[in-house]
Amino acid sequence: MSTKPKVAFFDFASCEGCQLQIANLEEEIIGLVDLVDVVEFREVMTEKAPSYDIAFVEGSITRKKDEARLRDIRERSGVLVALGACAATGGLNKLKNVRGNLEQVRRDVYGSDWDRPHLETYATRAVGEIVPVDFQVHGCPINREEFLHVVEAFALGTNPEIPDYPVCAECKIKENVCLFHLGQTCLGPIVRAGCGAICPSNGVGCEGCRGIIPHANRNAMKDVLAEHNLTVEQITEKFNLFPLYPEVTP
Amino acid sequence: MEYKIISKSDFRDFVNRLIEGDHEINGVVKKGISFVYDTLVDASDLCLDYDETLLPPKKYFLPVKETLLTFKTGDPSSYHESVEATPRIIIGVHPWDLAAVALLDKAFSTGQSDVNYLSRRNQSLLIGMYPTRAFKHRFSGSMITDEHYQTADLMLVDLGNDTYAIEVVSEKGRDLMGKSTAVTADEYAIESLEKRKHVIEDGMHLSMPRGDLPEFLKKQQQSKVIDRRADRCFSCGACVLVCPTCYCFHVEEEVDLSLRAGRRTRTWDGCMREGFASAAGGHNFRETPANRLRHRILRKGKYLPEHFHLPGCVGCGRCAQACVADIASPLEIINEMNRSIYLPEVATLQKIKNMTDKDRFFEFTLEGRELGHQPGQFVELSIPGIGEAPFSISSSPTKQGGFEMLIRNVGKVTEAVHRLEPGDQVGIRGPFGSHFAVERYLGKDLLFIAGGLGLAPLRSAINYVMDNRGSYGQVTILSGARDRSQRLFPEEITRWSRAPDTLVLETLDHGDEEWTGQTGVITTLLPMVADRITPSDTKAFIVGPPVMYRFVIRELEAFGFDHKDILVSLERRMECGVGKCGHCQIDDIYVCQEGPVFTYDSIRESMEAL
Repeated sequence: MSTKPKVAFFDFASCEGCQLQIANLEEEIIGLVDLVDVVEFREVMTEKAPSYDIAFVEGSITRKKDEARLRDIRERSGVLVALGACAATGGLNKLKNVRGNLEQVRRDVYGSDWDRPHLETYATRAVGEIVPVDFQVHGCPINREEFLHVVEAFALGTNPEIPDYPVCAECKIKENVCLFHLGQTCLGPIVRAGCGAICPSNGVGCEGCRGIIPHANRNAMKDVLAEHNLTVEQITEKFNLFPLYPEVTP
Repeated sequence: MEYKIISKSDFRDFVNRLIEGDHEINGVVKKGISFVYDTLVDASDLCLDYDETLLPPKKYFLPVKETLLTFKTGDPSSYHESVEATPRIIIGVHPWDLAAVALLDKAFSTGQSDVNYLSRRNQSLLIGMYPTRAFKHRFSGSMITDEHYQTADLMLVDLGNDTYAIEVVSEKGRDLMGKSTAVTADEYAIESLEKRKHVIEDGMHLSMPRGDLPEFLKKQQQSKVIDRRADRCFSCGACVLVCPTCYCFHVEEEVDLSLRAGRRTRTWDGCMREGFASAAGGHNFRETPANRLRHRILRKGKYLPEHFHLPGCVGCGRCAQACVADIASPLEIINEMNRSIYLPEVATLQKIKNMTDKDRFFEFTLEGRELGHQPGQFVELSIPGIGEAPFSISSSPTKQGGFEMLIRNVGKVTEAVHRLEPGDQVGIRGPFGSHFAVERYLGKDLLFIAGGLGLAPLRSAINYVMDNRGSYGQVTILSGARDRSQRLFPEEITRWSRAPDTLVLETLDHGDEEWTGQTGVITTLLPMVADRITPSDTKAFIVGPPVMYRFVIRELEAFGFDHKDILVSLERRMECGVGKCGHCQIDDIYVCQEGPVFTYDSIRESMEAL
């Protein structure tokens, strides 16, 4: 019998892009399967298992009935990891929460079919808002290297180290011209690093998919954005794309 | 010094020959609207007419990330050192970056030698370049002198006529130039070189000699300038990452996916990041952005210069450019700290309330910050064209969003203040002076004795206590006014009297038909609270007209109060507020500095105090 940790992957409301990142690991996937036993991974295999050492959960919780399935996974897992922005913070799926009226959201999305029972929805929750989460892998999508680092750390029995400083720092090391100096705006000063500043390096301001750093100076960020001619509405929109207000929960 | 000249096209050919040689050739190249050091594949990419590079050349001697050791997991005997050094020539280094390399050289060779750094540094040649373009954040002229950049092997000067003049600084530089077509410079070229070395001037200057910085910063450790700037800090560390003299790093372990082997690496890190000084167990020794900014500025201006006798900041201005919040420039911070002590900042009048026929109550706000005062402190208030005068602060530090003062119309400044309307602006300096240290008297009983306007400064302490009521024992407040029309803060007096375990007694010098309370001077209230007061466990605070102190203190002495437990606030003419003008002195004490709050014990023997 194998002594390697049993690993499983699950998904809720998401694009499954984070699991795709893992399926696309290419060479490193061989190293990964040396390290762990993947016992459940719907995107690449059909087998199922009764319990797991590590469960990776992608996606956010958008229906009441998802809660029971998530609780069941939690019960059968040693370690539960929220995989990607949707699971870790609610991600883009939380956009509907700030719109307030969920019936209108359903009408906008599904048109005349909006009230069919299977289109039931409630305010989006991050995985950690339903069950205890042991660790979060941030990003939309996740960073493959960071994912491997997390798996490796669990296999070694240590805690994964992920950056608690912002994207801005990684961007400086990449020797990018600051987007603020090019007349653009960016959330890099308050958003968690670990992505290698991939968006600013390609000329796009950070949108915050990795969530905010601990003690992020959001007030200063708003001031800076206002000084770069963003209106209050535009600033609010920026802060709401990926939820940079973790305290705003339904 | 030996001088050479070479045409720019010959110099390019020379660089191209170097590129074919056995050194890696690095130079300044354009990147978007800025510049970076990069590996040259062709001399035509070299751009020596540049303002500033995004990162300094330190990245070649102290890479962003490098391996220090390799190992096999679980086998301590397998640790193996790793030193990777490439021989290189770096072209176009500005004088301040050369001065920074001098500091790094010293830091990595002082004490235990850091072989990783030194082996890279020893295999390198530096071709410096006097600047040809201004950079708006630069202030290197205030920080370095010619002697600081002898780390160069050669220094280029753009003579403007498609020619470089070259100062040959080192032996290695001479050998290198021997391989070029450069010729010895004539007198005319040397003269022209000397003129063109320093044609680019800084737009900003340090407002004190560089040598004064360590002493100055020692005295500025508590400066509000740091707090104010730190309010906007993102703790991103951009300022320290782009700094040519910052060399702190983070060591961590990396393991291969096989889990069988790995390496110990070091990566650039810096004191401005939140977790930099946190230790196992979770304690962070520099917890706030202000703690960290203070450390950074003192490290640049005091610790490094004192330790290595070289400039800790070379004035390149990269941090100021990199800082999205625009707070990082050491020059701006130091100059702001070094502003005239007589310069007020702007405060806006928010609210006015009439208190008596002569007293009005004002609320002011400062731009972008709280006043940050303690109970009993005072400010200097200015009205341009009229003058400046001291006023005690009447609000508690626990009140956010503005501070309050009760001002009696008795002189020219107060008369002008009484004419102000909400929205009007005044100048404020301060807060100044000592304070009623109520925060130190937790659990004590407190006795407040106010005569007339004395209630204004005491209100600051009383409201502080009321906002932390559970932290103190029994509270007794005695207040005296001339007559009913002169009573101050009547609503608040009622509110205080309703607080738990709090007794408020008032007396009027002159009662009337409607006044049902006590009449007589303030001392008539003391016997009424004698049973309540335990002198050994009570702190007494007295503020009132000069004549009041002797009589009240005599009574308290009779109660058995220790002189150390009696606190008074003395009113004097505090013109400057900063311990210079001399008006407020009692004996040899400046009341604006050591006072206005004193323990009776400390002034009892003074001839001029009471």
